[in-house]
Amino acid sequence: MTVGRGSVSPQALRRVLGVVAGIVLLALWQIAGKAGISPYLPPMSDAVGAAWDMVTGPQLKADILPSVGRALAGLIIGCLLGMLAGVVIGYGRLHEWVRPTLEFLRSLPIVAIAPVVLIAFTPGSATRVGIIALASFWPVFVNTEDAARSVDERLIETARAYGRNRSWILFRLVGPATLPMAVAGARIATSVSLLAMVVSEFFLATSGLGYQLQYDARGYDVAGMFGAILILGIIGRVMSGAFNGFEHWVLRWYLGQKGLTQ
Amino acid sequence: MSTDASTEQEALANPRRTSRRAAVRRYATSAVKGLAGLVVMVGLWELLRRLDVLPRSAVPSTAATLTALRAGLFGGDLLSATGHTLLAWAAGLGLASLIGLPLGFALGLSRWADAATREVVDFLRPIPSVAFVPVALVFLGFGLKMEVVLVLIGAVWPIVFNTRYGVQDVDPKLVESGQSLHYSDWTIVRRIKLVAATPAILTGLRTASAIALILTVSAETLAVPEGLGNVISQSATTGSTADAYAAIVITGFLGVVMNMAIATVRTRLVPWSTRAGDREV
Repeated sequence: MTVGRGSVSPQALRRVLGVVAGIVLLALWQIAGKAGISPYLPPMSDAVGAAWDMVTGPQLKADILPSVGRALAGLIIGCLLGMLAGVVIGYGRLHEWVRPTLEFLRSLPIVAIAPVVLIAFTPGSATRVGIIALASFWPVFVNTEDAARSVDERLIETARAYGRNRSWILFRLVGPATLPMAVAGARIATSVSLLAMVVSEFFLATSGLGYQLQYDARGYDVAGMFGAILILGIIGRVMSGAFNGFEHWVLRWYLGQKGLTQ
Repeated sequence: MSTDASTEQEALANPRRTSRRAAVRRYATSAVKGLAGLVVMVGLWELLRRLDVLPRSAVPSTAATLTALRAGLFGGDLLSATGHTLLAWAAGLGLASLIGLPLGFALGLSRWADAATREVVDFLRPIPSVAFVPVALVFLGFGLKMEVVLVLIGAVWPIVFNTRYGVQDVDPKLVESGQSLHYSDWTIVRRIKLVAATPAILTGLRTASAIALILTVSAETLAVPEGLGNVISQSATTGSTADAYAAIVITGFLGVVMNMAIATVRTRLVPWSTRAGDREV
């Protein structure tokens, strides 16, 4: 390839290539859908139209916003509980006592638990938030516990030597020391919360994006399904973007220490 | 603390034997502690059930669950259900590795290939994999084929991402050393980049394995009339909750075994890798 002097850089060219590849793929989807290669494959425009109808219609208030609200509530509760349990178990040297049990509980796929939880408790919003919180709990807990166990012993002894009590050490020293790892876990929990949200709405639900997907599947409304998936993708992207901002804000002291702020 | 000090003195006197004895003792204590923790947790579960915090009508006792587990495994349908779930899991994960590893390598090695796929991948990535369960049901029906394709779609991503990350993250000094030894490009890929990327690849495989289990069980819970997920949903809706919990116990057990297997491979294959290097991307 001949690139003249002063013309576009390889980086810019690569960016363009990525966008072009995306457009080509979308065009292929549109053409394949219009050509009717499969009765189940709608053209791209139908899927986007379905997504647009959902966002602008009554489903925004009936399905999308309640779903997102539950995901956020579950995420926040799960992260906070994960940090609390992680600090207590990690700093309290309870690791050996609880590890096998927690290892087992952590390995339970959320989708296996969701049906029995929804049947045991009322299948309402609170139970679904609980399921999302449970799923979001693990990545934060595992990271925090790990970090709390490996807090520098000398720091703790210094604090003791200065007469700090247990709760000061727990909340002012061990807590902040584990925060970067907890936040790294919370990043994973963000995408896990979205997954748990969809799963929680697969069972005994009457609203929400997961329910919508199921409902469209029963009616073979593939455009509606792809529409819901598009919306899920956008929600996921917005959530991870928002998380980046949050991470920067909450860890600014740490990033400053490490010289990582821009 | 005091026991540590005394073993330390022993170790100084007779390093070889005591260190092994200390290791055995440490292992035994941690096993006893772990078992005690399990017993306490099960006791707590029973207590909450007796107090009706966990609704007694919908939550079976530990004894009932164990009975259902035994009956299901010996002569019941739990064994064949487990077999079905494992088959779908293994076939899907195997295909995902066959596709994901070379793809991740290609993206890690070629900046152009990486750039060409970046926009599409960035768009698809935040979509939760379970959202494709209903789509796969419509396209592929209610059988094993659908489960395998679903696992492939969901589990291929973490393998691709972690492989790409591992290959891109290889220490340039290693590559330069290879070049100064006049290794060919292919030898550098094979003997340096592949080896250096292995910890990241294993992390990807572990994530993929967990996602694969979630997806198989999801598909079975929702529609596929076989496997552990089907046992859970059928038993739960017909009120035989002990059977549902027995299937849940097995599902969790599968997860534990898979994690342990990958951890073992990790310590055997890449003993130099640290826990800090073990991060999901």
